[in-house]
Amino acid sequence: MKVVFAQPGLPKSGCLAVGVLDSGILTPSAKDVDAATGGAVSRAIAASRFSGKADQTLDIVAPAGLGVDRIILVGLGKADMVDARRAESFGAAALVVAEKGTGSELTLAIDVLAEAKLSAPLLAAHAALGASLKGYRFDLYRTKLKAEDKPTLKTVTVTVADPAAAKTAWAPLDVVAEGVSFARNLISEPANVLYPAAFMKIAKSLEKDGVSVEVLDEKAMAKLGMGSLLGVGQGSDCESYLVVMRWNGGNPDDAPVAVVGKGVCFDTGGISIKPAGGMEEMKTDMSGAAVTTALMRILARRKAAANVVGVIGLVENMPSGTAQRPGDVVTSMSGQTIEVINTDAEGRLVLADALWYTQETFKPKAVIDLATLTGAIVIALGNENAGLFSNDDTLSKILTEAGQEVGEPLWRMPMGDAYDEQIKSDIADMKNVGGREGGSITAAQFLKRFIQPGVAWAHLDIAGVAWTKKALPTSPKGASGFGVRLLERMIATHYETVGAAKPAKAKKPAKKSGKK
Amino acid sequence: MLRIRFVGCDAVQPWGASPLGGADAWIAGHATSLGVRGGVAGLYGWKRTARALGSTGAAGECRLAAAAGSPVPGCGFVGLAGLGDTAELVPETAEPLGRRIGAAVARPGISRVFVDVGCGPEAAIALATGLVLRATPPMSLRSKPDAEAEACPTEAVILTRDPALAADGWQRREPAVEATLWARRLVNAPANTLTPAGLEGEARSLGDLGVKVSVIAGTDLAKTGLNLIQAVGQASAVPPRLVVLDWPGANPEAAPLALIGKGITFDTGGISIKPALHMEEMKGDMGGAAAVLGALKVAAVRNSPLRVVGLLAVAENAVGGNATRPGDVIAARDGTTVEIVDTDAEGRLVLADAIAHARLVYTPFLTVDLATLTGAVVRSLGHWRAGLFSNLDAAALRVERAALASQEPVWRLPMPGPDDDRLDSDIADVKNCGWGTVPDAIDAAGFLGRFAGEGAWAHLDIAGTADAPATTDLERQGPKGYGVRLLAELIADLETDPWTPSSD
Repeated sequence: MKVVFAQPGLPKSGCLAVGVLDSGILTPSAKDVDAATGGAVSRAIAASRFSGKADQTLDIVAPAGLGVDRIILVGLGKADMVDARRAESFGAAALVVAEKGTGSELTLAIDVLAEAKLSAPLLAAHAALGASLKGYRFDLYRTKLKAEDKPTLKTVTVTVADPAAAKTAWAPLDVVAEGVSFARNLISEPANVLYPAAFMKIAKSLEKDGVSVEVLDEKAMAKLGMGSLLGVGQGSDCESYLVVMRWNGGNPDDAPVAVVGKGVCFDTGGISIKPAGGMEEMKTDMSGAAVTTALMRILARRKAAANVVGVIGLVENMPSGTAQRPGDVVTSMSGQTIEVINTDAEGRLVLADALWYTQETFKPKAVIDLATLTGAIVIALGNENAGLFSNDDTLSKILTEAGQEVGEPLWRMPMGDAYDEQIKSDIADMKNVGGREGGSITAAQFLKRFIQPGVAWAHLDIAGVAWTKKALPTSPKGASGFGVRLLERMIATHYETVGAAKPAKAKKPAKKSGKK
Repeated sequence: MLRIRFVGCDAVQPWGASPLGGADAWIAGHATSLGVRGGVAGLYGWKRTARALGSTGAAGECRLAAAAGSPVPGCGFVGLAGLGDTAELVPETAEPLGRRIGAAVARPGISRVFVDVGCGPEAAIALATGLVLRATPPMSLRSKPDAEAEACPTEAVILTRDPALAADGWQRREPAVEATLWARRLVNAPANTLTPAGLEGEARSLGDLGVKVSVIAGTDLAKTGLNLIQAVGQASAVPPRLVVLDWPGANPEAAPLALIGKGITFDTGGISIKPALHMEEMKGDMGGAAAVLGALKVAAVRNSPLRVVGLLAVAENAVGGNATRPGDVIAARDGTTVEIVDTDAEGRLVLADAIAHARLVYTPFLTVDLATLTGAVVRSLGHWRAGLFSNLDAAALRVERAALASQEPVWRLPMPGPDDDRLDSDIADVKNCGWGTVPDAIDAAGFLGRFAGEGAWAHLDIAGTADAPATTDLERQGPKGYGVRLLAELIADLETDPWTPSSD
C-alpha cells in the first residue's frame, strides 16, 4: 500500500474518509463534502445512530454530486481528545470500511483542529500509520484466494494543509509500520518454514541495513557454558542459535540498551508435552525474538542515534530420545544450576543464558526482555495488558509511558522474596517452575536470578498480547507485533542522543521489501 | 490471648524478685556486625551460646534451645533472633522477627517469654503483633488435646526503650490482633457449626458493643430484591441472609464507610459442583465476612468516631432439588438481570446484591468489599498479595496505604477495558463469568463494578491471601485472618484523614 500526502481538496474517485466530532459536529472537510453532496452527510447522520463518538463509522455509498465511490464518516470524539492514537484509529477504521469496496484508492481528509493535541501534519502521519498497520495481511499460503477476497486498495492519500511537513513526519513512521509488518510476518510463519536456522538467516540479513550480526551456533554456546539454553533445543533436529544484533548509532562511548527476545520457534512443551488443542499457536512462541529483530531493523533503517543490542535465543522445544527430561539438572552460563521440573517452562531457560551473555558481553545500561512466557499472565491480565516485571522504577515508568503512547499497554506486576522462595530446588540452585500460584511472578523471579547486581532490567511477559483472537484498533486478528512500537518509542524518547556520530559502516538501507 | 507486657531496659527482673525467675525462655537479638544485643547482652556468656546455637545473626534466623548451663540462670530455654546487619528494628522488620520468635517459642514447656532484642516502642508493638499472630495455635476440636500442636506461651515480656509508649500503642493495636484471631477461628470453624445462622449469631455478638445488627432473611430477601443472595443460598437447609452491622460512630446520620464481606459458609459449587479433592477448604469461603466482622469489632472496641456499615452476604452454596441451575436468569437488587452460567461463580452474585443494597440504602462515601473470590487471583499473585481492583484511583490509594500500614499487602490489578465483552449474555444484561482461559479475577471485579455504580468502590480478592499454604517461620498453614488489620487501618486512617470526594 502506497501512502501519499496531498493538499486538501475533494477527490474525484475512490473512497473519501472525513472526520466527525462528538455530537455530530462536522469537521471542515466533512462540511465541504456535505455541501458538495447537497447535504447528504447531514441527512445520513440524522438518519442513523452515528454521533461522532470515537471510532464509530458510517458510510454513504455512491453519493450524488461527488465522483467518489463512498464517503466514510469516522467519529473522532471530542476535539480536545484528538491525539496520535485517535488519528491512527481514524485511518484504521476508514481502511476497514474502504476494504468493503473494490476501489484502489482511499483518501483520508485531515483537518486543522485548533483544540487537538497534535498539529495537522502529525495527525496526518499517524492516520497513515493507522491505515498501514490495519491493512496488514498474511496471505502467503493462500493459493486459491478468490478475486472478491483479495484486497484491492493500492494507495492511501492523506490530504492535509502542509503535506510536506506530514511527509517528513511520516518517514520514520513508515519505517515503524514496515517493522511491525516484518515482526507479524515472522510470528505468522509456520514452524516448518521458520525454524531456528531460518530465523537466524533472516536476522543475519539485517546486515544489509547496517546492523552488525553475530551468530553463535551450538558449538560456540557449549564453549561458553550455555547449558540452560542448549538443554531446551537438544530434543530437536534443528540446531539452536544465539543471534546478536548490534546497532551503534549513538556515541561510541555509550553503553548500549539491550533487548533480549525469546525465540522458541515451536514449543511442543517437550517431554512435558502440551495438550493438542490449540497447540498450533505455539508457532508464535518466538514473538519476543520477532519483536527484537524488527526493532533492530527499524532502528537501523531510521538511523537511530542510539547504541542498541538485540539478542535472540532461537530453539525448538521437541520431545525425542535426546530431549531433556523433567528432573534433569543443567548448568547455565552464569554457573548457577537449574533443576528442570517442567520441560514446558523452557522460555526462561533460553532467556537465562541469553540475558547472562548479554550482560557479560555488553555491560548494557538497561536490559529489557520480551517473551511469550507464561499462561498465568493470560489468567492475570487477559489480552489487554502485557505484564511488566522490573527491578527498576524508572525503567518501568518510561516503558509504561511509551506503551500508553503507542497503545501497547503494560501493567506492572509484583516481585519479591516470598515468590522467589517458590523456585527453591531440593537438588540444584533453583528449579524452573514454582507451582501454579503466581506463575508469571515466579517466572520473573527466575529471570531475575540471571540479572547482575546494579543492572536495570525489565521483563515483558507478552503471552497474552502477541497473538490476538479478535481484531484490535490497529491490528487485524493474529500476530499483533506487540512490543515493536513500544520499544521503538521508548528508545526514541529516552536513549537517542541528538547529533551522535553515525555508525561507521552503515550501508544504504536496502530497498523496502513488500509484504508477503 | 497471649498477654503482652513491655518493660524498660533497666528491668532485668521481669518476674518478681528472683533474678530472672519465672521466664521459661529468654530471647536476645543477634546482629551480624554488632554481635549479641539487648539490655543484658553484656552480662552473660552469650558468645558461647551463639556458637552453641549456630546463630550467625542473619535476618530470618531464630535459634532456640533448651539450655542447662544457660547464660540466663533459671531459664530453661535461650534463643537468639537474627537482626541481620540492621542497627535498628523498624515495624517492617520487627513484625517478621516477632513471627519467627513466635514460631520458636510455641512449644510445650514455655509459658513465659522474655524478648530482649533492643528496640524502640514502635518496633516493640510490631514485634508483639507478629509474636502473637504466629504463636497462637489454630482452633482445635480435638477430644484429646495435642500438647505439641496446641502449645502457646501465656505471656511475653518485651524489653523496649520506652515501655509506657509501647504499652499505650499496644492498647490501640491489640483489638485488631485479637479480632484477627477471631476471624481465623471463624474461618477454621467447620461448616456444620458455622452455618449461615451460626455466622449471623457471631455477628449478633457485636450488639453488646453498640453495633446495631439487623438481618434480612426469608421472604424479606425477595421483597427487598436480594434475589441473587436467595438464588445462591436456596438449596441449603439453612437459608441465606444479608446481615447488616451498623456502627454509628460519632454521627449515626453520616454517610458511612461500607464494608462488604462474602460469607459463603460452605461452597460446594452448587450444580456446577467442585471436584472432591480439598473441597473441605471451602469452609473458608466466608473469609471476607470474617474480616468485615473483625473490623467492625475493632471499630466498636476502639469507639471509632467513623460511621461504618458492614454487610455480610451470607449463604451456603449447596446442591439440592431446588438449587439454581446454570442458565437461570435472576434480577439483582438493582434490577440488573444476571445469567448464571456457572453456579460456582457464586461469590460475585451475593456480593452484587450486597454492594447494590449498600449503595441504594446507605449511600456510603466509600465501599470496600472483601472476598475469597477467584482461583485466577491465586494464579496471578500467589499467596502473598491480595488483588486490589477499584473504579477510582483515590479509593485504591487509600486501600494501598492501609495495606502498607497493616503489613497485609495488596497489588492493584486492572479493571476490564471499555470494549470488553467477555460477560456479554445472549439473554440477560450480564452473565456471571466467562469460560476458558479468561482473566477471571478481572472479570469478577468488572462484574461487581457494575453494582457499585458511580460511587467510590474498591474490591479485594483475598482468595490467595486468606490462607497460608504451608507452615513456615512466618505463618502457620491455614487461615490468616487476612483483612482485619487492613480494614482497621483503613478506618483509623479515615478518622485522621477524612475522605473527600476530590481526595487525590
